Amino acid sequence: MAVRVRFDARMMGRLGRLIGRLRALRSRREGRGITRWGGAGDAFAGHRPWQPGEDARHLDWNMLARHDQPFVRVFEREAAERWAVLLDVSDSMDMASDERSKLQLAAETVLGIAALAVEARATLVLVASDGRQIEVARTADQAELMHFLARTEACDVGLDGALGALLASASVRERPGRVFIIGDLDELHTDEVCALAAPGRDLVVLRFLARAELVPTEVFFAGGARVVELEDLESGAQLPATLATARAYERLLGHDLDVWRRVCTRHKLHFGLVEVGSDTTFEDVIDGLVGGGRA
Amino acid sequence: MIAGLVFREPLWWLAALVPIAYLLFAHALHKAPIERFGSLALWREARDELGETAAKRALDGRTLLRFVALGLVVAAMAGPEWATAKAQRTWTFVLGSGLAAELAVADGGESRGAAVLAAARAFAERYPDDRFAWAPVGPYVARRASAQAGEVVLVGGAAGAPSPEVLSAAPERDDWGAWDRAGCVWLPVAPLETEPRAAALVQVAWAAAPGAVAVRGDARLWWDGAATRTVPGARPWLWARGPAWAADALLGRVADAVAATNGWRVVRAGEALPEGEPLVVLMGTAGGTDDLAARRHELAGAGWTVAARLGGVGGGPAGLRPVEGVRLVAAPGLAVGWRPGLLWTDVTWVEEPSAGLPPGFIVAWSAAIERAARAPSVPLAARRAAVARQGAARAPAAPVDPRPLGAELAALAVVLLLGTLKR
Repeated sequence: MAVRVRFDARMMGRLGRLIGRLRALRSRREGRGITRWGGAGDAFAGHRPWQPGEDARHLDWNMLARHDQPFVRVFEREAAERWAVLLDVSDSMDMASDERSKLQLAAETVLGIAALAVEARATLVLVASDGRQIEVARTADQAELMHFLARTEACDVGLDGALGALLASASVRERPGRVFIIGDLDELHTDEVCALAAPGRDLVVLRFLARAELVPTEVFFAGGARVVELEDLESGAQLPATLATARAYERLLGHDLDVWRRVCTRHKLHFGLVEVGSDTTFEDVIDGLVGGGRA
Repeated sequence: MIAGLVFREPLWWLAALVPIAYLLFAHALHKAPIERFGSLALWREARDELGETAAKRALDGRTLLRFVALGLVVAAMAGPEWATAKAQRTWTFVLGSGLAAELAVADGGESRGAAVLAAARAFAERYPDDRFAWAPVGPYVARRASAQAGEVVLVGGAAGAPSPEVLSAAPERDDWGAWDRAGCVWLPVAPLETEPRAAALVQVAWAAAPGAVAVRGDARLWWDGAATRTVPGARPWLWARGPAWAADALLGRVADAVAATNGWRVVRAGEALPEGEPLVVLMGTAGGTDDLAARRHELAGAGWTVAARLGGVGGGPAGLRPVEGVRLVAAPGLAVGWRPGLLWTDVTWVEEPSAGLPPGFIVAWSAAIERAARAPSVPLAARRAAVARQGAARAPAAPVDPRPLGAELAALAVVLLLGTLKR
């Protein structure tokens, strides 16, 4: 069963606002010498005046000696940097929370990452389930972003989109500087993800789970139900579950999440858990990635 | 019937389709909701951890309670009763006793006493699984019509089945009312004054002829062919006929003593005969040969022998039986005989021993008089057989009556339904 994402007419507007916010944030951070999305291997981009309160270790002392005015160095990534987004489009991503599927939010997050890539002057390639790649140039303008949006929407994301298979795709073998793994990770092992880690490469793992997947005791059994028949979205298999089973599931899920966090921390990977719901927007996810609030 | 439980209205069980339909409907309605889930891998791991092997699709308690309640309502409508196992019943035969027991059922036939015993046995054969007891007949006290009276002889008693002789020797039963309850079977030998209300009644057929049918104190029950009436003040009497029974004769004095003991009269020749029939005719031979020597014989009994003069007529009336305890010594023929209502003797004179009458003589002759007097005479030729009547046997009450359970089941159903209401 093919699942579809839909972007409403406000999506471009939201992307525009996000880009503006990111741009302002980048300016503030670069002014303060903070380039989170830069990091080792960035190219020197220029100087800016030092602001009172900034860390004095970021001062360019040569400039201070030469001009008797404090300046900080500003870096940016290499122009040839590529970002890859591996999106899990299997049927399990069709699970909804508050009538919003995980895939919908994941796809919107991909758009947000595309905007982030454009601001970071990186080329982004979305690797879809059928192996096709949807690319956004680092110099993409709004029109190109809209085109990317439309292609993402029209992409035939279907049940063959297992993340595991995507990890070995050509786009990953081309050694992008930053890889985003987005999905529910139900069939992915930490070893497979850690195998992608490499020097100079940022690995971001975003696990999208519906509220029912996180706290089924509250979602399914709060109303007093004794038994719930669960249906696997991918295989169609059914399984009766009781409250005791749900409690055991939550315990096992918590353990699984702890494992992911520990492994990612150990391998210096970024791990984020996204609870899909009506209150969660892709802007929240992007904000979480960039590590700052909205401007 | 299910293990002691019987249902008076079994067709109501067709309504059991209602609770079954409710259960199916409830199961369909309350089927567990289907929730689509991303991946069931962790759920399977959780179930394995809990050891849950079977799918828990059981109905909730409220639904089951409602199903049980509906089932109880149906069961209550079917009229359940708890039928206890029937315990062995005990019947009590209450036999009539008294003089009427000696009466013949038919001419020359068995006595009423024997007939009711046979009827009781026939009744018992109809209920082979039941037990039977005999109501006490009561003691019979034989009084000695002699100066040495005081010795008491008990005939019969409370234990076991009585014999016809016991029935005829015993006083007439006057405690029928005490035995008027289910499980008792009345077998009277004489017409009853009251009909049983709870007991069963078995009346054997007997030849009914107008005449005295029973004696009660100074009164006599007299059946005139249409109805039985009590003849009060009609003191039973003995009719002494013949020289042997003259008032001054030895046998006459014995008869007077017996009558006095029993409250009877002795009527002799020349006296007006009372109404009704005598209890017994004491008949003696009159006359005989003039050869006194030829007519001299000896009468003997247990421990006694007396000289007596016989009339020599021999035999006596037809149907006589020998009198126990009195025999003619060294001579053939019957010197003393009896039948109900008649004591005949060929003796015309008894010589009183100089040493006094032996007690055995008194006992033998008084017993013979009383035996002949126990059966009132039935002299009339016209006879009409009484129709044997057997009342409906009212069986003894079962130890426990069938107990209806419908109300209890219905109440339990209400309690269960109230328990299913949400608080």
